Amino acid sequence: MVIRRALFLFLIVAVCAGLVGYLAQALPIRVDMTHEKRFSLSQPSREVLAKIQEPLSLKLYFSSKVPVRFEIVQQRALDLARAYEAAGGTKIKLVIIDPDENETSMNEALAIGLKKTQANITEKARLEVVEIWLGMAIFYEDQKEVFATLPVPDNLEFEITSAIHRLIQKERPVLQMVGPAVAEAIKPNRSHDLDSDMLPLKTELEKTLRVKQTLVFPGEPLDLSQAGGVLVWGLHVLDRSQLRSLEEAILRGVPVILLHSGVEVDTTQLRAFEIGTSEADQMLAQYGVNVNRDLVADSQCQTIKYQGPEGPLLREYNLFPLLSQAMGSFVDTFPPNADLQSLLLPWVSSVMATNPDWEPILFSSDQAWVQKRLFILDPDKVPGPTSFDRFCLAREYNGPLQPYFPENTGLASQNAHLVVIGTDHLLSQFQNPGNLLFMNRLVDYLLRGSQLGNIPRAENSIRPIRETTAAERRNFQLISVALAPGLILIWALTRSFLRNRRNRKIAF
Amino acid sequence: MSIWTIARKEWQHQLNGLLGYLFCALFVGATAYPVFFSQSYGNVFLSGVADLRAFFGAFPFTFSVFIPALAMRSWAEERRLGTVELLLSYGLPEGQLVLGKFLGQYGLIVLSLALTLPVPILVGQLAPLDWGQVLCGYLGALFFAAASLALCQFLGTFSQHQILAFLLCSLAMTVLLMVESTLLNFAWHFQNVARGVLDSRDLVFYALFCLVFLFASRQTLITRFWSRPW
Repeated sequence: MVIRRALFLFLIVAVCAGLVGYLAQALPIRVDMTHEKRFSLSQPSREVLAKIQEPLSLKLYFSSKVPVRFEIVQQRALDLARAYEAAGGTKIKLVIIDPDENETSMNEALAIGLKKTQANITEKARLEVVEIWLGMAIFYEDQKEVFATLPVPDNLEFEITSAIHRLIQKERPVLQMVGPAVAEAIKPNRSHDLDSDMLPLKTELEKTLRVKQTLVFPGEPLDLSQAGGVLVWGLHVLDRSQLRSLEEAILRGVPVILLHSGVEVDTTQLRAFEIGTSEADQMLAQYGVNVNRDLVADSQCQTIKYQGPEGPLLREYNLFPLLSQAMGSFVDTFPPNADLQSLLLPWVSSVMATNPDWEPILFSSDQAWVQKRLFILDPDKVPGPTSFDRFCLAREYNGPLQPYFPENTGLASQNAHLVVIGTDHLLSQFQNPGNLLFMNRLVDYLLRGSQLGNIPRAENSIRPIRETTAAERRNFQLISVALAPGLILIWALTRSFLRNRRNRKIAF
Repeated sequence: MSIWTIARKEWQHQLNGLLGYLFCALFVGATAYPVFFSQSYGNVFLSGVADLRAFFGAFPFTFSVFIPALAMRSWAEERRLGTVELLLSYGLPEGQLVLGKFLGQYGLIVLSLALTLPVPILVGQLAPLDWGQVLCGYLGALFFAAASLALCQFLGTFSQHQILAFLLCSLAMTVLLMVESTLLNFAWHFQNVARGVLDSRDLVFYALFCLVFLFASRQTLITRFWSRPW
């Protein structure tokens, strides 16, 4: 009787637990405890959703039976999609479809350009390939955005919000990327190639903007009439008429990012030369800012792969300063810097202002030093510091500007918006995740007032550690394992001592 | 009141011998190793990044060894020495006995977890850490440990040999860590919490799991006590 009662009670408890578990699954409550609220719908996304006028349909094409790791991706995507649905109110409709369920759904999925994703699974010690549906499509009016395969789950919010932004924004601003072409007129190995090293940036920016590439050749006119924003690198090779066009755009109020190196670096030969003063420098001097002819080296540097005479080597490269929040490199008041964790500025020159209205936005650590005139790039031979200092590496200007070119005098602007960064090599260093994020945020800030750039991104959760010496690292290792056992030992000895004293008292 | 008496007895029993201290020290070492010593990318000095994924990633597998080791003697030893009959003959409710033993051992796990705190604190000295995420990681570990301990204690009621109990519990833990189901996989629920999100689905799962197996232990005690001598 007792046994039967016990078993019966256990069954009741198990059933109740199952019901509670089912309810918890059906009505989830989530609290995002991360600093940047990385797993919740961010304010920029909510602001984009608030602009939706017509019903928007968010369709998830998911196979119902998938390997566990894809189940996790599906679950996270579904949670996020539900957050969009909740934030969008009646304007967003969430639909979950398994195209394998019926032919109509399958045809619909194929018609919008979805296809099955191949996934490797291990079944009974054999590697098998299965095909699953893991796509998404967003429909708005007569337009659609399709993700044949879901992007990285941690950046899904940025991808979805960007897609919604593309759908609801009929006229996307044009960002004109302007730089010297790789031609005989310009030194080889100098210019960035839009189709290779700058491709990640272009792809990223094209998610929310129209990107127009303009490669300039000496003597050819530079047309910036359509530009909503301009990003320029290799400024020193622009001729007078091209610089005048650039100034016209600046004076029209077009926000401009100038990536201007003070030193010419030949990356293949690891040689550097001081760039002679160009017309661009004179123009910037008129505006109240100078990019110095120096190279900032920093004790807070990046480990890079360096092609030595005996093959590739991993070296700490002092001429690749790694800026981080931990050492106060990012000026908080500059919106693109908000919560930014790291930024890599290779071969960077210091940026000095003669006009106090040029606000600093990026700094080296206070353990930086400069090389002048004689530039040594070999990581093994970079000279050590004679003195340490903190250098400004980028500045922003927002306000009235006196034109440099007399022809532009009539265009004097009240709202010029410029950012000058002391290197254009950051464009090719997207292996550091902060770089892509920073450029994306910078463009977003200048063109749209930080609408999308501040959506939390996985890349930004990477927090570089400060520089440590070998002795310090040993101390850290020792403390990590010795502190806890030490505490235990002290506690055990105290406990033993107290017990012995108590026992002695009793015996006495 | 009896719950606390039993819990205290269990707690003292562990700390009177070397096993409890060994448990704590090994646990701390096993979790600190990937962060400061290993040659993998989880090592903060090698990666140059303040990332505690390797630290929290070590928890499920460390627990899958340490918790069975802790729980193996919970009932097996009582059964082997025949003291469980004595305990039950005092008229103690079986539920209180189960809960008391559970809390006593859980205290040691909480202590071990607390002793790993120097690791995130040290990493926090190297770069600003996301403390919300760290808090979630520890909360997840507490829930994970409670559910695992409840399961291991339940399985321990079936054996009077400690080694057998350990093997049984380790096997069960391995299955729960490897099972191809997001609903039942212990590691998946833990990862979900440790990334920095407190989700009722994960916490309720662990809480219910713990509750069901504690209750199952109680029912097992009742049925065994009334069906045949221990």
